[in-house]
Amino acid sequence: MPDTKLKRHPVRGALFGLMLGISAAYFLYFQFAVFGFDTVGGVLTRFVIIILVGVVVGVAWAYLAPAKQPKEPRESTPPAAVAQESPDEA
Amino acid sequence: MARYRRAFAAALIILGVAAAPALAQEETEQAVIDVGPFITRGEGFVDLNGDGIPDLGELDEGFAGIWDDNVGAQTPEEFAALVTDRIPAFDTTGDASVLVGACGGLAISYDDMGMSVDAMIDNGDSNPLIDVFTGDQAMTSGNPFRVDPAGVVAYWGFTRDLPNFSVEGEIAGVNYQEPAPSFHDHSWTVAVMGASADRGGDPNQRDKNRNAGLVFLGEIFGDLDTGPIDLTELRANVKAKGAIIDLYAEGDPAGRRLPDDFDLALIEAEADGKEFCFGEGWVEFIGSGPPIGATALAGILAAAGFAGLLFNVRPAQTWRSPTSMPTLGS
Repeated sequence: MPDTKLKRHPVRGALFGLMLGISAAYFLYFQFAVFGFDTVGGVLTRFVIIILVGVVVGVAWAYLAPAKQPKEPRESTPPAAVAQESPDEA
Repeated sequence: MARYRRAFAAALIILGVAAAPALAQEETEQAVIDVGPFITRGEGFVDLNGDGIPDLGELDEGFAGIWDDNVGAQTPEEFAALVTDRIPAFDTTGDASVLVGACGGLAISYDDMGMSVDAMIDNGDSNPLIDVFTGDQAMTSGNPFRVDPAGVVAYWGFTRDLPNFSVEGEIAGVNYQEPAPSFHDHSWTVAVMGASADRGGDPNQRDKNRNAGLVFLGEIFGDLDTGPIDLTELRANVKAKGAIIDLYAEGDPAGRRLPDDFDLALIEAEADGKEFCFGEGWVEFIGSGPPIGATALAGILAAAGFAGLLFNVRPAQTWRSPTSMPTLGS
């Protein structure tokens, strides 16, 4: 059994992805005019799609990104525990 | 240290995305088509910015069509109602531009200083609209007609002489003079994003088959009350279309109106064998964009989202707690 366990953050990923998606939609439409204003329905649909893509990317990143190493070195076994284990070994 | 390197890389990416458009500014383009033959009237039409297109000069005030809508004929509320009511029938699929019928002409957009920005031409033949600067098809989604929302659009239009144009109309009490082929008792409309932006018509008893005019976008957008949004700084690609049908208002002294929601098929059906023109394509408004506050807010949101994904979302490895570790005896 490995000595470490993985803790994932899909909710954080969704929230940060939402922020990224909203800002991406804003820049793509209003700042760089990458997408056109053909109809209100078309604009809203693409806006929602861009935001959803941001959320999906965020969640996917939470699962697929390379894991961070533990911040601190492994704690040594407490002396008390060692003392309790010793009689069993004997 | 690695965290600082990643933060620096993220900052570079965001800076690159934000600064790329400014760095990518092109040099002055040169027109590949001579538009001089169109501009036979008007004082002061000379090329000031060296792009081969005459810059804006003085034009005498012209005459509106008898059935043309006056400026401000629609209230903002009426226009908003048109936007919401007419959207479902609008074509969203085409990325290209279309111009059908015996109409042709030239359009030049000018900035608020009267300098030429973009120009396109149609010779009234079966070929598509042509970009005067590149010679490629104009008004497509990839090559839209670039317009300064604070500027002016000048246009020169004509119809080809065809035998199936009407030679006179049929409005009672109108003297159509000598019969000559052109649009008579016509009705026209222009729509943006599916909403009728302007419309009109005329008996055309003088058999006009040429027309020229100016559209003062800066004044039109400047007069609209849109709250904190300054439409003269609009930066967006929008789809526009227009149509005109010969004899559509035949016998109607008030000028029969074309439908607000229309496409090529509907115009063909409404024309019912009469001459018509239909065009649609993409227009890019090249204002400076939204207010700096909104852009800054979006930038902060982007930076926060990006940094969050980079530093706070990656899976983290933690040591299993000693109490959950297997003991040597188990």
